[in-house]
Amino acid sequence: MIIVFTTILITGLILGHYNPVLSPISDVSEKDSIDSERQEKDIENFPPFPDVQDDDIENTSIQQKRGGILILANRGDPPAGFDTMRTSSIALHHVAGALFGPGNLVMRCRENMYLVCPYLARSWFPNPSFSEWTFILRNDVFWHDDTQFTPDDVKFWLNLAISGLNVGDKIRAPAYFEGDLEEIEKVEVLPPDQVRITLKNPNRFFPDILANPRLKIAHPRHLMEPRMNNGDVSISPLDIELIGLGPFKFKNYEPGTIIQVLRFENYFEKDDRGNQLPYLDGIDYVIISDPVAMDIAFRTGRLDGGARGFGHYLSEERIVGYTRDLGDDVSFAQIEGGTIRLAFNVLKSGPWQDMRIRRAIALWIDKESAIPAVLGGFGWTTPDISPNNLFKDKRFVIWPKFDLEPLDERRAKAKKLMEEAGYSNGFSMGHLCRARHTQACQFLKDQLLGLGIDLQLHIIDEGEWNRARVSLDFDTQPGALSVLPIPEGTEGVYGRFSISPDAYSKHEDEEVDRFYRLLRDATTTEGRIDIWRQLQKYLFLDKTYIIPIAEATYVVPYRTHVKGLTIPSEDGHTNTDFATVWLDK
Amino acid sequence: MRQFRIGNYLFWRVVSLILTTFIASVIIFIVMRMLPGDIVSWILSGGGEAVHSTEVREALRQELGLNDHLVVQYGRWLWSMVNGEFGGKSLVNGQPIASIVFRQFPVTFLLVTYAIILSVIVSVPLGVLAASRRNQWQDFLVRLITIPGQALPNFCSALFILLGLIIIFRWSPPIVYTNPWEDLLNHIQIILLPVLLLTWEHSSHIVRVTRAYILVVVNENYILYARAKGLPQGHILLRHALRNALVPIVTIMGLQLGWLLSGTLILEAIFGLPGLGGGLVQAALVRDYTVVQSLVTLLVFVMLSVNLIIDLIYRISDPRISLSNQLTHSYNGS
Amino acid sequence: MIGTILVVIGMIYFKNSFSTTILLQKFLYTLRTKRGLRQLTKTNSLIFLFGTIAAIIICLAIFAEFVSPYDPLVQDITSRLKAPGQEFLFGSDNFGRDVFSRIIHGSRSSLYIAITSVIAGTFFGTIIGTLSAYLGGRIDLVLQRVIDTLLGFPSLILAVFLVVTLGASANTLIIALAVSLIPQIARLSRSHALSIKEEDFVIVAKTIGAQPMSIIFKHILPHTFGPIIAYAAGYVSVAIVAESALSFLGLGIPPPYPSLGGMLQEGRLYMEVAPWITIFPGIILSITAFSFALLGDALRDIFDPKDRFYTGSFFPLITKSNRKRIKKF
Repeated sequence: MIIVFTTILITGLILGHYNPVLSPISDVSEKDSIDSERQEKDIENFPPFPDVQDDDIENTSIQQKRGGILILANRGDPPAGFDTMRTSSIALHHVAGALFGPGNLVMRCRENMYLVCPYLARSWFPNPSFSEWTFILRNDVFWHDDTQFTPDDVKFWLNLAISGLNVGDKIRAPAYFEGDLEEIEKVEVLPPDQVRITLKNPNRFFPDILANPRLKIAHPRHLMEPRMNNGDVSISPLDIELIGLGPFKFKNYEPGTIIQVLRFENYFEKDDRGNQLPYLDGIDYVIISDPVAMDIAFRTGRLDGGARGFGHYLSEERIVGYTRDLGDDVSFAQIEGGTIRLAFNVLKSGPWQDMRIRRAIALWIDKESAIPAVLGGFGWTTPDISPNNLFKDKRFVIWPKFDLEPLDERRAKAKKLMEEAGYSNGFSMGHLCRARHTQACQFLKDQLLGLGIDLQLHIIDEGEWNRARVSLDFDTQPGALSVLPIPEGTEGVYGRFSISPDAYSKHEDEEVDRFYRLLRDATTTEGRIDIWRQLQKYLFLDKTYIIPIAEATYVVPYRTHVKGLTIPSEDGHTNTDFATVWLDK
Repeated sequence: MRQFRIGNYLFWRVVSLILTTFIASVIIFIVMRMLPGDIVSWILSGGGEAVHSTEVREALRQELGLNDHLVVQYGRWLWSMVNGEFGGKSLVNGQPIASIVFRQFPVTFLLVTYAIILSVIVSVPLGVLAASRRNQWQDFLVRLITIPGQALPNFCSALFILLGLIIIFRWSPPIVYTNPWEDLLNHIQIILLPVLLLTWEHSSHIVRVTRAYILVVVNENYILYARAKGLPQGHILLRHALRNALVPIVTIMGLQLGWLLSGTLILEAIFGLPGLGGGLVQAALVRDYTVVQSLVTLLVFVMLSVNLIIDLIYRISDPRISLSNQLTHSYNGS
Repeated sequence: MIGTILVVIGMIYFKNSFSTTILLQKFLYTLRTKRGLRQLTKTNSLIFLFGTIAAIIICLAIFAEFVSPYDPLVQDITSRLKAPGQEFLFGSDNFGRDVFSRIIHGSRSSLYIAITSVIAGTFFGTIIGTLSAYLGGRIDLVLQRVIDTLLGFPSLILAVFLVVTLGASANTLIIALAVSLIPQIARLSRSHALSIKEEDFVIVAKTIGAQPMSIIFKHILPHTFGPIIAYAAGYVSVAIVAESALSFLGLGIPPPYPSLGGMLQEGRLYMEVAPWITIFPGIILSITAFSFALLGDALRDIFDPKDRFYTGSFFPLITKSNRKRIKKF
């Protein structure tokens, strides 16, 4: 308990002067401080932020207006019947925040997403060994059909997620994020309002794991359990009319067209001055799967906000049309997003098993040029975890510090390494390429051509991608998962293949295990940062299993009259509840 | 005697229609199951960023009935096609396919119907005009409009029209589709452009056929006779020539239905209309087996039925045509 | 174009056959007589215009390596999104690749796919149709059912279905487009073959004991050749449009290899700052499709004059019989 508080305290102190706010780009002083830091870090070709006018973070004292319908674009139809246990698709999670709330028992704080805030639980405490966590629930939480939310709901939800369900010969599969929660041994209800979660191993970061915004409670026990016991095990939230706990309740869904939600009058959250949230009357999510169609609709004033999701996030080129047509009526929110990278499958034989080859490729790639070519002009050349993140921004090296020499020197070095390894004439290497994001593959193919490496692109659709990326069939791949914003949450993507089959790079390096053990045992933030720094150096430099190339900055357009947005500093799945949004028109 | 032949013929055509649809369903089913990749993986990680173990995957396969023998799966599917469930539920989002069809079919139906009606209204007069003013400026003008209509890729025109609208008029079609009985104005705004584009393409073919047929018909003896009788040119064109040219015009419209449906595929995707064509492309891209196979089967069935109806009209209205004429997609009676 | 090549081969191969002689005569008549030529240049100047354009496009496509100023795949980030000008004739794209070179290579792959699929579709369609007609009986019945079924598939929908199943690649596109052409050609050649099968000379050939293969090749095929070529020639432009439509939907040739439809799709995102990435492929695609449609028309007039009035060509070549009709009207 004390240690948790000290951890939070230290974290808070470190973040003190930084103070991430609702929208990091919308605050001028904020922006300046980032800019100055950026200069310190010698990032030369950093793309300029688009012009944003000041948002009303300080002006929230102005009388906020209730009411109005917010019209947002959504990338597509939410798959899997809106089931948060089946998919982490942004097409669902952009909508799920409003319907099911921004979190579960806990959430990422609105003011600072790197901290954990209470949501459905009022408070929580672990036992001294961090293997038992007890959550005390709020007593004013209601499902949208006005049924009280109880600890039994939590137990039902967690059990369903972890172990699925067997009724007769019918099987319900566990949730896709079951791996994240597999440490949970059992869930007990302590009446009247407590839930105790027992872990297999002590974990002092359990609330951090639980605060992942993808873990949303969309499964009311009182509606689902009877039907499941009758054999309807694969029942989805859509089958029970999307009864959730979020600030908005479901009104209407026309697949391929629109999802409409209305204010839930019995919602429990209140703002600082005691006003009932949410402010809006409702939200219309218009389903637009074509980014250009979204641009056109937005620019002619038919939308208040853009969709989240790769492909729909704006590029410098598309912004030109927005500002020309809308001028000051549009602002652009920025979210740090995923990294483009090249990860090697060193378990498959080939020249890339030689460390020198991997290193040569890392030195050769002109990472800066990926930002305009692949990321639409918005991004950083950093390794994983966003630059705004505690573990990177203040303490950790930014990527160019790894290889600071000019490109020419780096490339000369790369050529030499290739020669030393005996591949001066180059070789051919396969690369998994998602049909959805071919730009990065095209970029890589061209880059490696100069080193004599013929990158064979295997262009695959999403179905094949999900199979292939956890297999050992391919030489290199871009990697998929986004990571938790804490170092401990990255084992799934950097760990050994036998432990984390979905890791970007397929390796069986036990040294990496050791680093993660050290991280889990570290007691201070300083220590964690130090170990994390060593681990990143080991992964990206010493062994070069993964070559981080550049990190995207996702840009979402909103009309200026949309106020009170909570834009997360990274991870577009966060804060999609729009409970604090109001319209100033 | 003739009654009997038509009845007999109709019977065999319907039998043939059912048989053909059955063959199509088998082909579609088998081809869909040959797909690489795994629907289960897709469902488990819609956004492509989930970890899932083989046990999870296996359990879900079981849940969806994908572990059964192919023949069992096919039988189950076929029965549900017949009893109106249209193949059960979507694998990706769990919606009943019947509701998908029920929702998407009217959109495509309206789109195609508008296009056909508008095409007939526009193209028959134009065809007659072009034929009667052959090689004069009217004829050339008609050609100038219709040849691009036939040759230009409609998605290309759609793109440039949309961009022109936003750059010049700062206007774009609405984004939320509504049925005409809900909000007529909105409906017209959203469906107007795709209808016009489809009409342009479709009517170009009809104009061409109308013109050509009238030119053939005016050389027939009865027209020469009518002309010899001194009937006015317009009268001859409309009463005699056009009337006889109508049969092939109807036929070509039936044959063109396949192209119209193909056209909706892209135009619905570009204009965001929630119809069968756009729905099919979406479902195909996410490997929603059940939806793709049901929608394609349905479309094939519609195509075949429409052709059957047109064929019957053709035969009943023009007794000169023998039952094995090559011009139609008929059952060639062997 | 492919039609022309096939015609030449066909003429050499079937030089004694009746129908090709007539076709040749008609064709030469048009070219030989002064009036024919004058008429041709007058009424069909558009055909000549587009024929020339099509020929240029074909030449550019064939000699793409020599004609294109840059490698269509090589990127140069320093010159991305450059406007059309001295350096880049049609500008450069997001990766700094030359749009002109990409268009040339893209139209090469479009033409390659369209023409190959038409040849393949015509070849198999003719074989299936002719065999079906010649053999008759049960085989005919079964083949006809399958062909009926395939005809029920709207062609682009069939192509989308196949491409999604087989994965997107040039070969898949060829298969998909050919499969949608096969039933049409098969039906056409079957109906023509059926009528020729009953002609006296075929019956005579049968009675004197000619081999089935020689009957098919010497007597039936030469007579069904014309209409089939005519139909196939008209289909080239359809195949070009279908290929670009599939590429546009993301079901075409996978990147980074250029295709016109794919360039249209990619370029849309840069419409505001670099409209040339979209506009030039759009224009070239339209012109190509247009030219081939007109060429297809012209070839149909030459090869299948009987069918002309049923399909309604807009630019009938002035042939002897045709002139008579015109006079009559």
